[in-house]
Amino acid sequence: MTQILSCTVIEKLLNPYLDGELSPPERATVEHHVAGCRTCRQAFVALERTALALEALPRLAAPAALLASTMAAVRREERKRAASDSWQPVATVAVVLLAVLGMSAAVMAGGESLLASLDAALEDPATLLENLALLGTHAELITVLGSSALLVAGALAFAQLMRGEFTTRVAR
Amino acid sequence: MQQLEAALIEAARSDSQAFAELVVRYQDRLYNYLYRMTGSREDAQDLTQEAFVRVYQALPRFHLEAPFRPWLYKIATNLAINQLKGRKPAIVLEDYVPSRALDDSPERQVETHEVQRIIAAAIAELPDTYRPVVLMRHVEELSYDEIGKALDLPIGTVKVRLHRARAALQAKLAAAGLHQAAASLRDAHEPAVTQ
Repeated sequence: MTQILSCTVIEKLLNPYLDGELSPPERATVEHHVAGCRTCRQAFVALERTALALEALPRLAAPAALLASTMAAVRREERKRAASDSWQPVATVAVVLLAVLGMSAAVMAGGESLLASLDAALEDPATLLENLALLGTHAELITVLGSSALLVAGALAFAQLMRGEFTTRVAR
Repeated sequence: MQQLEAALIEAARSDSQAFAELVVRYQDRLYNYLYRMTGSREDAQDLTQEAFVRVYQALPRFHLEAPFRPWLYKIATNLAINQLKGRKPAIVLEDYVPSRALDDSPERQVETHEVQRIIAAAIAELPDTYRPVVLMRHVEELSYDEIGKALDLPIGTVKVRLHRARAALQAKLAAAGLHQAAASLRDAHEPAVTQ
């Protein structure tokens, strides 16, 4: 199929033709038109010459020292990465440890007051109810400490995740 | 080739020796691209190094099925544009010493030299949005699709920018009366076989 296309259309196809970005039928259309059209042929020749001039530009090779200096910078980066990798488990352990310490302190405080209230109850059963109520506030404390520790751990994990996501996006 | 490259990139994530091979594979092209982007050998050297460091940092999160070259050129282009901060790249005249085929006549050597200088100056004059497109296409031989990926542009925009940029370069050559000389570069590019 030979399409009769105007020079304005063909002119837009000359660049992709030169770059090998046209389909075989499109190529054939351009070739057919250019063969019979002096204006478009001249436009194509001029375009081809510009492309040749661009391709003939001298290509510089990287200086000999570049590989060594690049790899030195990469190794510095590697050490930085290794250092931050080794700190990460330490930071995680520290958070878990804090959470556990906080919770056991709370449990111990609660336990002590339980013992104290039992002692008191033995001497005076009337105080038992009062002390149980006190224990109730300790239980709340335990819950608060436990959930704050979980929140902190969650926030840290989220921050790590976001940092990773952010750098990926920047680099891509 | 594709398989080898993918294997190399995967290995380079955790092995700096493999990463060095990746640097060797791409450093000349990247340096040359950054030299054309900035017009300065010093900048090209610093930015090539910086681009590879960024690649190394981001490589663990690079999707292996994604094409590598557009990603590499995206990093390099962003670095170059940041470095220029709106300036135009400089043109170093000494870089255009006549160095074509030895049997060229002195007149033709001078002409070739002149075409190259005008083209280099015209590239430097292009806006930051056009220069990378022309360089990626002609110097690096990236496809429209790869250029689009590198610059986050639809293929239609790549096409339009390439068309306009070439038209601008063509006009500069014509203004200098060097269109014929540009045509003779074909022979310089592909040396004629002597009988």
